[in-house]
Amino acid sequence: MSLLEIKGLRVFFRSGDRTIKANNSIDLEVMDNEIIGIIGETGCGKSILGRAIMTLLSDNTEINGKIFYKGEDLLSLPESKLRTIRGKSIGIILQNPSAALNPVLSIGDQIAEVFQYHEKMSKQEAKMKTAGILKMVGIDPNRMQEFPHQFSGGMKQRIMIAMGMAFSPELLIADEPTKGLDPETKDSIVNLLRNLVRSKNMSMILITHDLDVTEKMCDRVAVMYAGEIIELASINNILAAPRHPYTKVLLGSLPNKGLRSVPGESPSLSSPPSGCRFHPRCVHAMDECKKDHPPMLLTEIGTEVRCFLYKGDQDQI
Amino acid sequence: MLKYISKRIFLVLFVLLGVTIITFCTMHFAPGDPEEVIAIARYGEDLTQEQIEWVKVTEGFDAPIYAQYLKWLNHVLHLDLGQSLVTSENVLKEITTRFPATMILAFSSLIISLTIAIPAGIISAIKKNTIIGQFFMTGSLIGVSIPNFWLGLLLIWLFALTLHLLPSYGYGGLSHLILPALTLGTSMAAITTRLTRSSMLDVLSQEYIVAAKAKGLDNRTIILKHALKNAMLPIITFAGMQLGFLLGGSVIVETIFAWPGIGKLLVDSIYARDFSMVQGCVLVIGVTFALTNLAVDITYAFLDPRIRYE
Repeated sequence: MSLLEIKGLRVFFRSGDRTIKANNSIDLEVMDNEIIGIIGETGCGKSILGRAIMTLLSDNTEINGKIFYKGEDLLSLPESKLRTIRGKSIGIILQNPSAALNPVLSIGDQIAEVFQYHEKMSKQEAKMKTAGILKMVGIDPNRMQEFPHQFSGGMKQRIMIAMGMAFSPELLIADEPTKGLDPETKDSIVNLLRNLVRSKNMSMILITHDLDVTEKMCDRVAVMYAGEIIELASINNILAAPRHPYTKVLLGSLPNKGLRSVPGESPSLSSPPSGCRFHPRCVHAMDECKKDHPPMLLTEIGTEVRCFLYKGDQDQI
Repeated sequence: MLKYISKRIFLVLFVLLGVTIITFCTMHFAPGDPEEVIAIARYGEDLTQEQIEWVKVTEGFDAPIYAQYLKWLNHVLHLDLGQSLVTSENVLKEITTRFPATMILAFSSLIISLTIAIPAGIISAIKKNTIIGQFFMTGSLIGVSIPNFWLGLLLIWLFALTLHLLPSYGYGGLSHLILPALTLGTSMAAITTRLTRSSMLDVLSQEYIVAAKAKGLDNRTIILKHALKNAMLPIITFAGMQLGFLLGGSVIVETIFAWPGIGKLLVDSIYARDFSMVQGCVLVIGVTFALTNLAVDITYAFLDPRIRYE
């Protein structure tokens, strides 16, 4: 069953006289107990998507479409209702823990307040719960009174995980949880997250540009390019049989696949290329790629792909 | 924490030493030789060279300057600031009788300022694109633009002359304090409101505010718990500096309201060419300023754990 269903999501920002089209008609379903990866290069709109689901975007944002969570459209719920969902049913691990932790509050306080706020727990109870949650992510509960700057980068990431996981939410959004960590710490964070999510039967949206991490954790992968999902497939299909030319070059940029960079420049989100947004960088670009915007097509192996190369063999969805 | 505080105190000692050196120099940089000034004060304008020489020798002005400084410093350390050249009053005694008036005025105007500025700044930051936000910003712009003396006169006209509610000048009970404290407090509030607003806006755009929102906290908790403590840091620094200036006496307001504070004492002494009194006032004002800043630094440590565990 689907836990989250995003339909035709569009997120636009106004910046001066330009409109930044960060998300353009995103359709995505997240199933129960599923880990879905959202990958793509920096600036493709994947973090914006994560924040849109949590309705955390600032006021100058124009959001259209629907985000159904258990049948309710989050975008039309009142703020008071959203507050009961945020942090309790849907959790988020923001990228850059150094900025996301409040420098003047102790880490214990920053976790405990979730319990105090949502469950009206007493200080003592909340403290007990916090100790348990810190232990779960591998941090000595005796350090509860310490402040963010006293922890290392990997530990801050663990604290962020503890914060996002406090209530074992049904859906966890993890935004670049391994960014800026050394390989060893990265592995331990990946294992920790995967084990926690699996053991508590949660669903997770993993936003990353690290294909290695995606491979280790995800069931399905959505590849984003210039604010759109251009390929959606199981992890096995993505790795073994990538369909979209962009996915192919993205995989080719992995260190063990030759470390080839994607040719050309990242597209601008305020004035994206006409037709297929990838056509200026695509080796297979045809005439119609420049004029028409390709729809999502279903291939015979079950992969959904936004590319005219696959038009002949199947119907559009 | 203890290490941080002792380090600050150690540094303040050097600042205080600097204050004494500069204060001592005011005497020597002042137009005319000090012995001549003292001789005039003692014997009148018609001086003979002998009289000046006599003062120079008896007051020790013939000694090398560092020796004079050390001698003076020794007196200062024994809380002896000398006598007024005009009234022969003990300088320290005169200052200590004036200082409480300045302190009362300084603290009450600071309290008025912060009570207005912090809520106004927070509200105008949260409601920045609304009528309410615009209202506070316009109000604070007017407040910043109005000069102190004019506001003081305006308040006297309204509350003392027209409504007969409050005395227009003098020192005594609470009723005397209200108008000068309001004059100083509201004009400081204007600028502090703008500072609070910009500090708050800066904090509200930080990632940890998004994180707090992501936890499902309500706006009230986010602002009062997560934002305010961070936003207070620059405000504390600024308020500390304002307090330092206020404790040095606010000459204009003290003069308008005939408030017997140290600022008025300083200005009166300058007009009377009462050098030892000027020197005493400058020294006390400098020391107060340094100590106020020390207090601010210590407050900082309580607010910001990054400093506490430095």
